[in-house]
Amino acid sequence: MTTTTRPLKVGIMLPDTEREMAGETARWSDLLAMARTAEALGFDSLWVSDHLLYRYEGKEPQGVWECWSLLAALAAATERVELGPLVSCTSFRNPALLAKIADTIDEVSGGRLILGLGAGWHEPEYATFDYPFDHRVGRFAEALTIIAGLLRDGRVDLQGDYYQVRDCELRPRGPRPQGPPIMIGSTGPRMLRLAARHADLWNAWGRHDPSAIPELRAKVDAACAEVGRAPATLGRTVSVLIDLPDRAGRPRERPPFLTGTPDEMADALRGLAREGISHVQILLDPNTAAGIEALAPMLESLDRAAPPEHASGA
Amino acid sequence: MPDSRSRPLKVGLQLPEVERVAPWADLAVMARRAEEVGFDSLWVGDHLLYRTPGEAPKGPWEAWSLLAALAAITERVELGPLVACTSFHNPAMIAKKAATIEEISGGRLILGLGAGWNEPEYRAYGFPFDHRVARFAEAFTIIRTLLRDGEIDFVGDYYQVRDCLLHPRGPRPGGPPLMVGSEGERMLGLTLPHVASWNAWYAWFGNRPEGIPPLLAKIDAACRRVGRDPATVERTCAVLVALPGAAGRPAADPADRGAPPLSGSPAELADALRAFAQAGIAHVQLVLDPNTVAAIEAFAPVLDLLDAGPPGDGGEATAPDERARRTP
Repeated sequence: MTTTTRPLKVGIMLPDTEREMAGETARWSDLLAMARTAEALGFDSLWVSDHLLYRYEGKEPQGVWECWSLLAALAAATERVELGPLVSCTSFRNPALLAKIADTIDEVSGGRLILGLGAGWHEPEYATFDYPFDHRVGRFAEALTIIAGLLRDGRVDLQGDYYQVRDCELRPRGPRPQGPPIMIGSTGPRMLRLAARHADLWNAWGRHDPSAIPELRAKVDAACAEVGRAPATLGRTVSVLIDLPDRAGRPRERPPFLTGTPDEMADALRGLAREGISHVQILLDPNTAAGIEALAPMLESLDRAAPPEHASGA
Repeated sequence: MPDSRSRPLKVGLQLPEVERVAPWADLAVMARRAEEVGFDSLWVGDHLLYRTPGEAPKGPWEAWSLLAALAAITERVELGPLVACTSFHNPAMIAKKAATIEEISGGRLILGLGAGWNEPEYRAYGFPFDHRVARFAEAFTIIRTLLRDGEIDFVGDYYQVRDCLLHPRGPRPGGPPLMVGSEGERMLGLTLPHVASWNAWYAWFGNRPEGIPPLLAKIDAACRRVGRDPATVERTCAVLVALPGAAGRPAADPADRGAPPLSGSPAELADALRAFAQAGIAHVQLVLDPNTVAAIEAFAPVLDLLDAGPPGDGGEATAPDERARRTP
């Protein structure tokens, strides 16, 4: 396949949550088949969420396979695609150990990991699995210092309010001298400043309308300016929710969802690229192997040269 | 794959940990080759950092990530941590990791658990080293209950999990078999009522079959104290084996240095493993020196001899070289 004209990277989120593969719970064999299909069709990346249990009043709880175990297995079973958590909650694992997990999976993948990080948000799973929900941004800031320090320098020492690591070392080191790229998913001002200081990429959930991007971009640029970072050096990514004609219905996400012909959807992604988005993570409905195959024409459309009215910048 | 109907015990392989930094590509080749030549299981140590005075610090890759990756690239062998330290993750997270890797492997996980021992890695990574057995007791309750029943509500001194659900469930209804790696009285008392198997590290019995009976007597007595039929707990042990090219395994724990490796011809090594089986060991985790793919190849004839049965018992109806090896 040629991706020389693809204006942005296109990733696929796998159905890691109970009953979210068109109503079915994906087994490993399903996830593996979907991963290989996506890789063969030319998608750029695979993503899994990092949740433990969704619990909403009046709804059946939904559990999730463990994020990093899936990523390690996907890293071993694929060859080309990038892989990452969208995004990993730093409260769920000791941060120094999370750095070790990330570096190990970067090694298994041969340098294909994108380390998505966030502070988490779904309160019920914290108490259920024995994690504190308070001071999430304060905890995240310390966790990020530890994770980024270990992955980039191989060593960190921090006596924080929430975490204490003493003369900690990451051994062995993974395949990339600076470790995997770090992506921070948040739109909050404190989190954006942390992203501006430490991250390679930034991510926002559920945005497919290009007109929504300038306002977000202004926030990200402002955070960069505040910490003295050149805004152009922080890559921008958004997740996009696409509904295909044979959608099964989404238990949790709210509209609007991107729909249309392959050319229309490719145009929408081109619009995001023009607003500075370099990578999208697509959450499909139906989130099945057939859904991924049905999205292939959109990818082909995206790889063709842009229509003349958009070609000026190409 | 060799006909293992007459194999007297399962033979597993511990992948390199302290010996050298093995890149994933190397580990993947070793895992696939071990599966092809008929090893029964693959094992990885769960450690974060070794700091031995007078030596350069070193560390292995992260255990659970390796197990998930190994589960994805193998088809037949059992897999497990030797053994997972319950202090390094929240116990409900350990249950979730175990269920997920059990799923990826199609039901091939053996969940080895222990309380850890290597204090410097606790300090460096920010884990508490105090009350390890008491913490283990609570963690073990949470882990085994979630994997068996899929739910728990537990308020302990160290861990609180409230109305916790483990979903989705892995392929085996009761979860993966549990294995404890300890010879401590309190640890045995806590775990023997619940585990499928027990494991000893090679330094605990001098790495010799003769060292096994006194250790097993201790396990039998501990079983009786907690009302577990000793015959229902499978006994397993790590065994250090020197093959051509051995350079001496770097000791992670200074106590390991007192145990000389097994060595000898394939027939002698097969005899030694038969002696472990006769002493009551059902599964060994071999630590090969050198820990390389060449050593796996060099050890393969021992598996053939074990499968052929003891010399002179008429079990050699098929010569080892006539049996087809498993091919991918």
